[in-house]
Amino acid sequence: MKLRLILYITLLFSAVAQAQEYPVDPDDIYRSPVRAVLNQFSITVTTGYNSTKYSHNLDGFWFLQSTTDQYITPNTGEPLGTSFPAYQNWFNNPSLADTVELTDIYDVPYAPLSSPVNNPALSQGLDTLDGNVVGFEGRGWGVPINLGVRYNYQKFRVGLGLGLEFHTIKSLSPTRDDLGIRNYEPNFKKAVFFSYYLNLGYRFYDFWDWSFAGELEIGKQKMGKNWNSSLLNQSIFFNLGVSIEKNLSEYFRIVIKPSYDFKNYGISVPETGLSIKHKNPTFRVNFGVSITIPELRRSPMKSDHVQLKHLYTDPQTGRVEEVRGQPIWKKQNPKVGENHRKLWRYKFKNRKKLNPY
Amino acid sequence: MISNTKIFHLPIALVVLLMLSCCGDTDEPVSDQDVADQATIEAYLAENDSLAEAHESGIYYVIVDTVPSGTQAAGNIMSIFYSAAIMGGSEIDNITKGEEDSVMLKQGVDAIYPVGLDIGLSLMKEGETFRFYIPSSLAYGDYSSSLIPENSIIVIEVEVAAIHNVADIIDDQHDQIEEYIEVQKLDSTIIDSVFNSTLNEWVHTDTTLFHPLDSVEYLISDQIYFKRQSEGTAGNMVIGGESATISYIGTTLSGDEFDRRPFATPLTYAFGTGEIIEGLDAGISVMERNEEALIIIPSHKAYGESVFVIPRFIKQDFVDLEIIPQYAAKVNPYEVVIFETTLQNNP
Repeated sequence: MKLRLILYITLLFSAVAQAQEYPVDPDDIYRSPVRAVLNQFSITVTTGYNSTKYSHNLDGFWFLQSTTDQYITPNTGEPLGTSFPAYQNWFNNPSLADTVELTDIYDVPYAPLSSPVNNPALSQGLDTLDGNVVGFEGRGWGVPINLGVRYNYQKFRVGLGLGLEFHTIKSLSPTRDDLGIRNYEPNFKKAVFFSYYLNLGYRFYDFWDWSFAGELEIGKQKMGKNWNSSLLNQSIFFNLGVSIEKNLSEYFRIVIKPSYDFKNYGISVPETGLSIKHKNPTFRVNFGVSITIPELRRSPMKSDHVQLKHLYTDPQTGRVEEVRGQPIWKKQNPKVGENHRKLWRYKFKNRKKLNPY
Repeated sequence: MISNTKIFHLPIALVVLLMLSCCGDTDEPVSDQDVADQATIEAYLAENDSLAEAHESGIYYVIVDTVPSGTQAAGNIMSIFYSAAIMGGSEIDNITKGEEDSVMLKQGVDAIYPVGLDIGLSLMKEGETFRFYIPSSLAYGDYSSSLIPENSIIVIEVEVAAIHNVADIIDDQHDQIEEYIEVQKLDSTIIDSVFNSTLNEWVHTDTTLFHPLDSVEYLISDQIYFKRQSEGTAGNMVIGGESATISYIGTTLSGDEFDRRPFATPLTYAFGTGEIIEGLDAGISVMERNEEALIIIPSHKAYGESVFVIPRFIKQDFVDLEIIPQYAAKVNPYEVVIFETTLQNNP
């Protein structure tokens, strides 16, 4: 019942698109109901470049740096004792490192040092900094593959999408460079992100064969096995972007979409009740193709070289059907010479000529 | 084409020249300070101390009092009197002959701060008195405190009271320790007792001085003194490769506490690996767990020459600046140390 209702509604809207005039009563022209429904949807596949900026600070923790490692430990307001739990990998999977012993091995009763004055060995130790002055930021980049399906209603569009991003992360540098903090090195380099989202958009401007649509994506990103999902508390992401579409035909367009993701995640540090908030907004420039499934099929007759949309009568059943004379990526009802192969081939070269041939 | 290449090379050569000249500049400030210090010292000396001689290291010295013969070699252990002051300014520290005992230090092994004094002492013989003018780079550099301004030039007048050898110091410290044991009545054999002729036996008159348990024992091979104060778990000793957990109070012979590890926060260390001072490790080796003992360690089994620092009261600043080790702020050169130690069960 529901499906039928949707079918009727979509058929109603699809009627708007018919403009061709034929010497046949339009009611007698056969139109595939399946195609009529599918024609309301567009499928978009894009790829491109995503640049993610990671940033966090360690408020509420002590930051500790030895000659080889970096740790954090909760700042309870008390000075650190001589031994305390230390956590590492607070970027993606906070876990207990070996208990750090804050020992000065040049104190009593440790063995004396030979040539003690200005001995470089004296500087070997663990630096402790209050986390509220320590922050890290860094970039990751990725190549996404996005697949979206949307329903178009006039200038509005609503859709669903899936995304896969092959992500590479670099080391995160300290926000202050005067404290001798080294870069934070995540314990992985590559990750695969999976996301799903709802897409809402409005085509706000058309200019010749260009269209501009503002789009909002709301969704969830799965960051993969490198992040400990049991400690992860992820926000929904919002993506705002402008889809710039070059309509090569009624059914086929090239899409370039610059957009910006607003997102962050919190990661809890086990057994402390504390968590660290990481911001990871992403700037994306994605490009790809978008197709709308034609409501008409190509003429089934091989020898049919008619260029425009036209009527075709089935020789066996006598059924009259409107068919296309062009592949979907070409303009369907071209003016004379518009889809001409040579003109297409030399389109760039001839772009400034008034009369190319 | 060739001439073009030459023209192309010219800017590169200029850039290289510029880079070289700028790299030279980065070294300049250090020597600038040295040059300035040198000029200041020379101007001061011309007016006040014209007999001063320059040493290749950058220090200036005046022989105040000399002796005809004597010896000096790097690595000597010396006793000195001194007074140190900012050049043209206030005094920062002194050990005055007749008022205090001389202080011991070891010259030539990077165990003296400021470094300029170490260099200066290498020029001196037993009985001599020198006055040194030490530029800031060999003194405290850009360190500053309420007493020492940044880049100060230091004047130190030093008298070498004696030059010692290690055997003398060991003998001397043994005497000091024996005296300490006697004064403190650490030996249970030493009890304030009187012989009661009517009873025909010794009667203890003051048992409060009776120190419990064993007499002080001199462990010959380890050259430390050891006194058991309370019994531990029989047979439960630390063996090599194990870790030992200790709490202790560290004092000097004069009774000053320099370090403490409370029972609740003990120190756990790898026993017998040289991680801690030799004397303490040796003392632990004869202890049973839960035993309490007094371990008296002569300096050559503890912190030896440690670090001699002028001024004596701001050692911690130099520890924080990672110039001297922390133990040097606690233990003076050639100091006998006493550890009242409890060997605990491992946590």
